[in-house]
Amino acid sequence: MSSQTIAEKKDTDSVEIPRDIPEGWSPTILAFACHYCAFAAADLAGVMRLSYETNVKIIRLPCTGKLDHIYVMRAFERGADGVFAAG
Amino acid sequence: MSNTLEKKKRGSVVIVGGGIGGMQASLDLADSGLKVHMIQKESSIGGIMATLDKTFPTGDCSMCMISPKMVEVGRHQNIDIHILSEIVSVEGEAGDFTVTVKKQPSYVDPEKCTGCGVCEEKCPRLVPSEFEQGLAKRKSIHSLFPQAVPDTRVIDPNNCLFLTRERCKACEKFCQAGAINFEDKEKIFEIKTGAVILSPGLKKYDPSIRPELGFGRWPNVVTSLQFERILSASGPNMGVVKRPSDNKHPSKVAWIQCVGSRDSNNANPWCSSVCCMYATKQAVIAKEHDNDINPTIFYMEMRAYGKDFDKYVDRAKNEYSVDYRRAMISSIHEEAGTNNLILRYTSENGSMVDEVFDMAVLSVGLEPHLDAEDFAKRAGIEKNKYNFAKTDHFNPVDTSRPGVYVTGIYQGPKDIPETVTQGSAVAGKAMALLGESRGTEITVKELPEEKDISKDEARIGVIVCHCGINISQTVDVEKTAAEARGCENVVHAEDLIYACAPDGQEKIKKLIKEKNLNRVVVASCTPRTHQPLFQETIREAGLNKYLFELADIREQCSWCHMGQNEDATEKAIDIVKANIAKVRNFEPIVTDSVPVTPVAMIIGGGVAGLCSAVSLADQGYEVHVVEKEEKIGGLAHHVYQTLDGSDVQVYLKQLIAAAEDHEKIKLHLNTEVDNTKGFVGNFNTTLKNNTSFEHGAILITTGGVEYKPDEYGYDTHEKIITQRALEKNIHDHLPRKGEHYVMIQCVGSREEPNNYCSRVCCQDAIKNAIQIRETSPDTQVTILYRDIRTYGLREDYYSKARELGVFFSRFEPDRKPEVDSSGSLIKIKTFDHIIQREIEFTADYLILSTGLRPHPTTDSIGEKYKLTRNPDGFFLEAHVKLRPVDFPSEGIYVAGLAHAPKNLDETINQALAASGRAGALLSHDRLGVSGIIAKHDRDLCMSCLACFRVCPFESPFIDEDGKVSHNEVKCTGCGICAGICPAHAFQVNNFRDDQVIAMIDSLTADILE
Amino acid sequence: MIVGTQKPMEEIWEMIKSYKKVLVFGCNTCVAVCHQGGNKEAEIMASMLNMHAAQEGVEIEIQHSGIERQCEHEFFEPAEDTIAGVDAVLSTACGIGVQFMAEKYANTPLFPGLDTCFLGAVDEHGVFSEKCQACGKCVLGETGGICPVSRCAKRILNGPCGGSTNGKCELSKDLDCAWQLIIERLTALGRMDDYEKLAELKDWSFDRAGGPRKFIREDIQV
Repeated sequence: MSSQTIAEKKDTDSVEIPRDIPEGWSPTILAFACHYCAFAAADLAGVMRLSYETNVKIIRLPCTGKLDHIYVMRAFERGADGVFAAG
Repeated sequence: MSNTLEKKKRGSVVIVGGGIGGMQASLDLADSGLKVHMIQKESSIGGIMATLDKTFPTGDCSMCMISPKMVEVGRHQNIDIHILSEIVSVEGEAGDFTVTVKKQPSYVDPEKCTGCGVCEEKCPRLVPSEFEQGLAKRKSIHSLFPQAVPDTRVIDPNNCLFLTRERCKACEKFCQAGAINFEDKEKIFEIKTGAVILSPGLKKYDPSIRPELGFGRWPNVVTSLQFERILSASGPNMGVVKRPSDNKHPSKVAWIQCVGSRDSNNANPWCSSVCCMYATKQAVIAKEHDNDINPTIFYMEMRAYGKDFDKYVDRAKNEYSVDYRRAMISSIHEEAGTNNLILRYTSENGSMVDEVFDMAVLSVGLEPHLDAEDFAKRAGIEKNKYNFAKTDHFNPVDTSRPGVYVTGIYQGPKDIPETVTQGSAVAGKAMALLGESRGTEITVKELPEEKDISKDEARIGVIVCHCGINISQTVDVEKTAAEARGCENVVHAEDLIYACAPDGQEKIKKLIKEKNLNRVVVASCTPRTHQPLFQETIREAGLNKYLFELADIREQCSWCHMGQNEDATEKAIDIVKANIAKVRNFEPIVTDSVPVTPVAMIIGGGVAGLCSAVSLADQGYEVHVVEKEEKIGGLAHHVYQTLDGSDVQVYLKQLIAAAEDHEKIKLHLNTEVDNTKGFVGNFNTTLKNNTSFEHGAILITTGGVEYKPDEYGYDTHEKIITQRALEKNIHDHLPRKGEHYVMIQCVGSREEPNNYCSRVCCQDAIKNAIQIRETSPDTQVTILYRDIRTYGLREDYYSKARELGVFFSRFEPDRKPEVDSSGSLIKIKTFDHIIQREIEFTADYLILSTGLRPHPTTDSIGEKYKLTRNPDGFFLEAHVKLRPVDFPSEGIYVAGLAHAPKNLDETINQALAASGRAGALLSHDRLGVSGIIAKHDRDLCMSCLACFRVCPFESPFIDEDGKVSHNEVKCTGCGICAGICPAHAFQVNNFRDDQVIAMIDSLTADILE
Repeated sequence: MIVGTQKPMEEIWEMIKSYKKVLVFGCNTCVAVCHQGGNKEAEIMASMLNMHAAQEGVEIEIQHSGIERQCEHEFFEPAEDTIAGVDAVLSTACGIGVQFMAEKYANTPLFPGLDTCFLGAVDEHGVFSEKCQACGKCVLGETGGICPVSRCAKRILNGPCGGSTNGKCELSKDLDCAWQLIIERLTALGRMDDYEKLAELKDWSFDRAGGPRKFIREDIQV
């Protein structure tokens, strides 16, 4: 078995089951942001008074390299609808 | 004079100008224990770099790079920034100057102002923003730009309604900190200092001096600096490329080069050094922003002389379809009705062309400030004929006055990395002058002992800040505080008008004592700027400073959710709760430190190495110079004079003598490094001759070699020689009457596989051509070139060569000159692009301008110290803009040709810079390890080497027992190791998995219900 | 080192979905190095299964844990209670670990989370390649240090075969012909004489043909 075939098989392997979106629902989005760039960019957005939805909450990391798989899984497992990693 | 008679030197430096050069100098000096007074004319530091969108050739965001540096300068306890200030006079002598400073009133008390910006919002008076180049408006009370440092506001007295017409005072009314002071007056004060560094920066050429280009008349003609703001995501268009007349997306955009440069008639004769590259960058970035833009650059000569610049231009041509046209624009007119622009120029084949563009960008040149002449007088230094500070080739940062140094564009046009290099170079100079007085003028804070909280349960205090009304007008701060009060372990929560104001800080200290708090959360602004301030505060109250977290509810909540008060309040509560959850798991962090060996090792004894050695030795450090050859001096032994006629051999002799005679310099000749162990501050090197020594820093100055050509019949004819051999010939005997010298440029440069500019060859050719024509006017000199790259003030010599009758003919790389060397005279055929036909020369000498190559040892040294090389084989610095002489590995620096081809003065700059950087490092007795680093648990680790392979800083290493260990000194706390580790063996302090997961859990607490 | 790859989610789900309490159990040695079955991967897998269960609307409690190695008794001690408290265990160890546990915990259903693939090396970060098949009789001494048993698809001992073209195996143009590599290495070592020697018939009884193998060192037994 070559590693390529393993990877191909995984790509088609989705655990997602689409469901209907309830009315009035708004997603919860967690953003993991690098202290030096993306977090700074989020600050700048504020400084420039750029408006976005209030359902985005940012968790500061020292670098997106620090982003652990576990964090992403944990967020989804606990019901977050989107995870945004920026750095 | 004996030492006892010598006056004690002062331990401080005045830096005039807070651009990137002045900032670099101030940080290096302040880090080395000298007090810095920064005199800045504007209301914020940052200079020109803060106005730029991106930088070439990497496309990095300029503000993202400079902003952290500005913050660092702003909060460095050894740096005092005096805004709106100028120097009046500099009295005294090196080591003991008195600088008189005049400070304009700012009408805002910087002690009271918290930078909340409410005044700015309330101010009714709008005026064109200088920072936005007039493309947007600012208020009368304002900060220069949003990231300004210091972040106080200032009132512009010429536009303030109260100061001009005695009505309004809205700012005073709304300022809850009571910081507005209309009684503020101009102040004149004196600063006693040991050295003065001049880095006043630049002025841009005013293109309205050339009315034919239509600037100020046709709205779609903008300057390059205006275009930077148009491109900037934080600029007036938020990064959308629109033209001023009708806000339409332009399709055809023209850049017009050399506006105000290389023109002695109604502009400046010098080359501004940066415009070719910034125009290329702007064209590329514009295309990235909007793929429908078709950029055209009209230029005279493409001066892509810097490291990786030619490759950048090639990419612009090939990947971004930037159209480069060699033509000068003679006039710009507006097309009736469309606001489009008609550009008139002479095409390469000589015909006059009118072409329509949607927008035109004038690549305006750089020049000294208008008051440069007066400025030189006030600083007591000599200036050159163009009002730049006068410096000599071998002492590029020394002014005519000892103890007064110059950096940046005031010394001559240059780009950011060269300015930063000079910033560190002047720092090195000042350290050498004042080294003995290090630490005498700085204050060290006395701190109470840290309370042991290890056995106590978490007692969290939460402060929710109103930030005037910045937060409280959108977020219900009382409700947020009340919600915090309800959280587990929170023993106190309250709201404050200004947490960061002095009374707010005192309140926090008091609360820590009264409520016996052992962890603190402040919900206010961004941790990027304010975390250190609050950390200091809790430390003063006896808490470990890492028991603090800042919840950003201003930038990331109230400011971006204005008018959505209910939702914003919910979000603020979520943010605060998440940070409480995180802080609950915080533990005190004990930071370690390691001793520093105050010794440097320099590999390579050429001019770069020797110059660094002498500078470091003068700073008081022991230096080991390791040279492979039997004598020091390197390539400079073969250079007789510089472009400006300075005698290189005299300089080299002095430099060698200085190195040989210095009691602190030890030369190791005929040997190489066998191995180096250790890390920053603590290296141990053994040479191949078995000598070994300890040292704290490494300077790599291994130099380069001259390319030996195989092109154009070199080796087939004794009179086909290199530029270097010609230099020796004409130095040894005068050229004979009637001789014809033909030079071919770019031999072995700017072509695959060596597609880079060797930077020195144009200068060498022109230098030798001038020498030939001046000493023997009855000779002929012809230079066959691709682009003449006499950048900066070197342009004078290009003009001089032309005046002396040197004939220049341009060729294209796909149609190179042909050489017939079969006879005694050499025949050269070339296609001249001006007259569009082939011409033939008969030459007595054919001189090949051969380029520079990295030294053959570069690769082995690179492997030894794990230093990357660029595709051309030169060492790659840590950051091409802001860390030009550092390597990513701490404690290792680079200078000279090892870094890239460069001229002698530039090598000297870099050598001084490397010694400034190394000097700042070696000045520390001990090196503190940062608190936010990865901690490695050897019990969990199974040495799978994932961390070892991915860490950019080489902090995980394979230890003597064969398993992975972690060197915390090298660690920057990025946490890549923690992310990749399959065993959870790495945890980053204050970003531990349990702490981050506590935040995730807190932020998702309500969803699953 | 033993290299394995995680089984597809559907396959895992089918195995465990009928249980109420499942433990995803990591093994922190070989399969952790290939980032497939270590304790952290077990944690991630548990999280994926939890979400899958939620989406399927199935009530199932997924826990995660792990130990240093699932092929030695002593390491299990701290996990005994956890294992005892679940209905089934999904082990992300290699086949050795799964079997070891199955023997050890006779009453607990044991399922493999990985497909155990091969014995291999870490060529570079994230790249693993097969290097050995544990045939029980090493021939590397004769073949220039390159194994024809594991790296030649046909396991031929006197190669190359006629399918070798331009140094590549007929199976794929990305696959080096092991015998080409052997010849190159022997040439470089100046040992092509060894190549000329015919390899004798290999005694496959040391391989699996002789049944499961066992090795006992009586001198160190306690």
